[in-house]
Amino acid sequence: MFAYLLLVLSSQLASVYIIKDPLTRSWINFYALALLVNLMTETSTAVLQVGGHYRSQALLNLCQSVLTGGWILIVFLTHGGFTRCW
Amino acid sequence: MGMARSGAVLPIWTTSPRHILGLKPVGYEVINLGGHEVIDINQLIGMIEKRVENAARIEYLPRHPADASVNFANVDKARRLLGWEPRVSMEEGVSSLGELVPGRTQLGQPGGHPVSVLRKAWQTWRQDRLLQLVTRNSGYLFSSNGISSVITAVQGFLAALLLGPADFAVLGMVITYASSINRLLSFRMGELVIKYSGQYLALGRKDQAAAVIKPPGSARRLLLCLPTCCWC
Repeated sequence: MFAYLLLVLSSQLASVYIIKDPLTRSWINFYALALLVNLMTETSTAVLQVGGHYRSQALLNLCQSVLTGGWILIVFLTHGGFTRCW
Repeated sequence: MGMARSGAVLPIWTTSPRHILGLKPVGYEVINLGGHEVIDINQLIGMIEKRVENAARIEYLPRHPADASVNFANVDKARRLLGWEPRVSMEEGVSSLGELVPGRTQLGQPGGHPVSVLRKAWQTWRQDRLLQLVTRNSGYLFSSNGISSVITAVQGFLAALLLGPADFAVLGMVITYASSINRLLSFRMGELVIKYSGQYLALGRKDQAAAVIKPPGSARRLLLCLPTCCWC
């Protein structure tokens, strides 16, 4: 939560002074949202491990990677961009 | 050195479980049990060398002031109270050293045939259910992570081709900045859940295990409900 808030609050400054591209502010905020979702993943992963569901965890990891990879592959094949899939 | 149930300290030189077979309940008594031979340390080393078929590397140092020059067990009290007599010679005791620890019966065969070592390792693995479980679960995660790493490498390559050097560098900076902040303020709640709820589950206290899991989960559900309007 603190990371998310800090990222959102500092996105303006980071985009201007660190990345030196004000347009990247929205991308920092978007990535912060992904991190926020990932916090839920952390607890869920722990619950799976405590319950001994390692195979499920491995399958979910794999599905996540395949989904992300497939998404990027589609964007690549359709010559998409940062904000446009096709 | 072994500790008997009655509280007696046993100076066991010929380390064999057979030494304590003669124990019987006599209340709390300090009783010496030991062999009936008096040998010096060089003889003992010689026996072990013979047992393991390997020469010891001996470094002679000045004698420690606290070392006893002679040490042997007076077993008169054991004879009187327990009717105990030493039956295992030093030679026999050293020979049976490998029997003390399960799975260590190959003691004294450091140069065992690789096939027999592998067979023993295989047998140990087949008999140890916990080891099987750890291996299997590690295999699942390792396979998943391995495939994911390959996919990540490929998608990074595709993204670089797609975006070009300038945009890819910007993407890298965005991800690096956000990840750094995240690492800085990460409280590793998953580890808390594993440590404490795992302990409670092992004790069969499911309610308390659930109580450990619920607060982080609830907090995160609440966070996910935060307005996403901050984006942009």
